[in-house]
Amino acid sequence: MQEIDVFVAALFAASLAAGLLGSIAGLGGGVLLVPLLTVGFGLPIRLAIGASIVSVIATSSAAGAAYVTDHLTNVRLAMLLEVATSVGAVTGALIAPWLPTRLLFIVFGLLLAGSLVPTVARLGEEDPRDVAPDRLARRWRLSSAYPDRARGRVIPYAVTGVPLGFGLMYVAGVASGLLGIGSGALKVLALDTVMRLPIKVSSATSNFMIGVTAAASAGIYFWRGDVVPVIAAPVALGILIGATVGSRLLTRVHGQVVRRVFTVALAVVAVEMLLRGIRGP
Amino acid sequence: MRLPDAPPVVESAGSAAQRPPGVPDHPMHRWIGLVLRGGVTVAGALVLLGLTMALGGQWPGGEVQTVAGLIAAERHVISPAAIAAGVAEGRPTAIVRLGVLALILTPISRVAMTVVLFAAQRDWFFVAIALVVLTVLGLGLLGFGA
Repeated sequence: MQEIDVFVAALFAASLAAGLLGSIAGLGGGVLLVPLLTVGFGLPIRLAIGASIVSVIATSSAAGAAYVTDHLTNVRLAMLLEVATSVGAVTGALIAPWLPTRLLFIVFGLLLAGSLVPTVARLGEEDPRDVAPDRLARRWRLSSAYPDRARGRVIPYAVTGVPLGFGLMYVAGVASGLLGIGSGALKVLALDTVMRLPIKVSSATSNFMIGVTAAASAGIYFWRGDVVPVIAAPVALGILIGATVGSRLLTRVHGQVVRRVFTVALAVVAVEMLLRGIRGP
Repeated sequence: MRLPDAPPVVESAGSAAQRPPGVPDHPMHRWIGLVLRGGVTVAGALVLLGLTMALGGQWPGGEVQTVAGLIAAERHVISPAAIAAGVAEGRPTAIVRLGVLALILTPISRVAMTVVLFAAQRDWFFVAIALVVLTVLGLGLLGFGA
């Protein structure tokens, strides 16, 4: 085998694993990919971001296609919050060249590390209880219900904290546009902790929104030439297959399992982000 | 589709898991799923085709068949015309790029679809919401500010 063949095969295998974990956790896979491509494969960060942002779209779309037919995704809520994430993503892509990357990694790493506290504390909660829909959720009919296959029931849920959730989604969009990630962790936290959705609905709705968020900034990276075929092709295909398998598993496992996988992934990514920020590129 | 230990409740034929009562926008769910699946399939096929052709020995950069050389050769500003010309010549990297473009267009098509489907439901507030998102995505696709 030639050097390029080995390189492509290794990228494919690593991306397959990242896609599987990312999909089950409700992460786009980008947060795992960027450290993987830069630290693991020694690629320039801009090209890692380019390959990542494209892969994030693939993960979200493939997983989202499975989720919507399972009725886990809250499409109305996703649409509303996508206003914030897409504007945020364009903002992020526009200011990216003007901000020091190390500072961004540190801030984002701290944000993720801080978000671990409430996630760990509420680790066992399958369905949020005593949630009253706020004024905007009632006016726009955002509350819904989802089928839980593991328990064989349809479970209604309410949505709250719409204004704060919307604001956090803008921040998630900025992070996505800046770092080439889906910001799935931040989205799930906003949906789960602030808006109080059931964890499976949070994961599915987050995955669904990630594609639109990434598409808002991907065009800018694409025309700039940061999406290099020899990197992006194996990465996108690996992510796509991993995510498809992962999405099949999601409706068949209990909420606690999803949450534990998510928490571990979050911790790893937080440490990785901080280390990169402190050490520099 | 149910797990063996699931209690026998709401459904009996196994179809209730696909059509739960109290979920208001069911037809839209199915359409969006089709758009996403179709877009990813087309994009994935193009990327796979391009990658397979390239691994068959058609990477650009001529004799410089190292990873670093290849990346350096491929990292440049591109235009729609360049992609079209490359695809017409059957260049593998241009086919991969066309697939990536199809991938970027997939969520955008989904939002366009959502506009139509909200309109069919006469849900005008959400039609407006979806149009705002579509406009922002359009600006991003054109490389606004790049």
